[in-house]
Amino acid sequence: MIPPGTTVRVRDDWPETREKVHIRTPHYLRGRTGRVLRHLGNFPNPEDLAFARPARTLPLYHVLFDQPPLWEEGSPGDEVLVEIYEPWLMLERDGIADAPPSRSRSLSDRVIQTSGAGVPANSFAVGVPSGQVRWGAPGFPDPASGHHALP
Amino acid sequence: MNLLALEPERLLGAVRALLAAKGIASPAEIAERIAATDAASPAQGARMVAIAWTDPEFRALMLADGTRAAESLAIPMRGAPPLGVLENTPDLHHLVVCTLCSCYPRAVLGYPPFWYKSAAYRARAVRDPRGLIAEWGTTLPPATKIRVVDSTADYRWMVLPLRPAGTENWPADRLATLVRETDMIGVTLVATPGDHALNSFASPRPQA
Amino acid sequence: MDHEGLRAHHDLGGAQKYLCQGIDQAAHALTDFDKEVDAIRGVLGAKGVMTVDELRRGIESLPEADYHRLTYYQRWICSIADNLLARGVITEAELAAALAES
Repeated sequence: MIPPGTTVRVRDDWPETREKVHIRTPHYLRGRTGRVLRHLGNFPNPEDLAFARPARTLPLYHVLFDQPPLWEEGSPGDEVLVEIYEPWLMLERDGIADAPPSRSRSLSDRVIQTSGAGVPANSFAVGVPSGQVRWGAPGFPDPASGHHALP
Repeated sequence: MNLLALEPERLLGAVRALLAAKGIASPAEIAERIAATDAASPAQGARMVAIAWTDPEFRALMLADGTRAAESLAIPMRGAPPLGVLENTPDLHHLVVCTLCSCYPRAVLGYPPFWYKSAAYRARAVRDPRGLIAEWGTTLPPATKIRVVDSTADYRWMVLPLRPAGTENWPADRLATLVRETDMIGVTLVATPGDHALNSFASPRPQA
Repeated sequence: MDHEGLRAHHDLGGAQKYLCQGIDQAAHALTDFDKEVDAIRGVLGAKGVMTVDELRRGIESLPEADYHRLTYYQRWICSIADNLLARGVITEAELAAALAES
């Protein structure tokens, strides 16, 4: 668990440029440094839930950022407060990004599954069947097959 | 099949028919759901705010656990995400947005307003919050810090606004009539009675 | 740091193209269509047929032009239908037949 007051850095990672993903960490915070305000609880990973995959439970934090540096505009003192899941946060010591914080195994290893009404249990691993495009445009590839170019 | 080529009304009709035929969602269940969602409105959030202004014990509960506070007033919260409450003070003003989609505390405020879901609101709130709230006629003194809350995950957030001056002896039910949906999102301040056109600290400074 | 070129199109925080757009503060009453789509998603969520996360994934997968062309709940019904197909709750053949009957 990351204690309140800890300085953290949001991973400067852009999975959406590489593959089909669902991400709840806004683009404007990637690579930014903030401060943990508090641990909000533990929740199943939306990045998995979005694809109906078994989802590990992750710690969620409220992280506070100075607002003006985000776009180099705004009023000094203003802030942005955002919910961020632990895997997106890196501990920062002396201004240098460190390894990701170790996870609490007892919490993170718990796997939750959504219950299906009339859906076979093994359908959780099934995303959109390969090669099937329902939008009539190359915007909905098979999540399991990897490459996805942003529209 | 290209779903986007279909007329949305027709697509809804087909989905409705299939879900009914398969026993997944009957017309009665859908109607019940609509009625339940229609029953949630900003009046519920306003009642919570007004009670928090008059009852320190409830205020403490609301700030610690918004869901339990709502439930203590018989507001249905089952199945709703946890409710977080953001307390405005003379030094700190909260503004809620969801830049990724449209997360909103529907259980206590009802359906989100149209503008809350708009691309312009979602884009501007985190980048130019003071310019944005100025569109509602809201100005804050430079000494009051704005904290934009980007609602990205499992909580839903509402603002506990400042109680306006001139309402010292008002009972909660009368106070509740002052509180609007925009006050609980943070684009406006609860106006001092008789001063509804003004949304700034220019008038007598509100007291917490 | 310019992330503008990297962001997904639904990830709108600070997005340049909307910064000069005013806010339409008018009340837009929900239509019967809107309320029914909203309610269907609620029923499907409550029954564990689909999560809100899956709804969002489907919405985000819409091509950018369609995302902005469609109304809010038109995006939803497209995502709902897509997710029902993806999960095998309904089949394309069933959907085609239901569309033909409507």
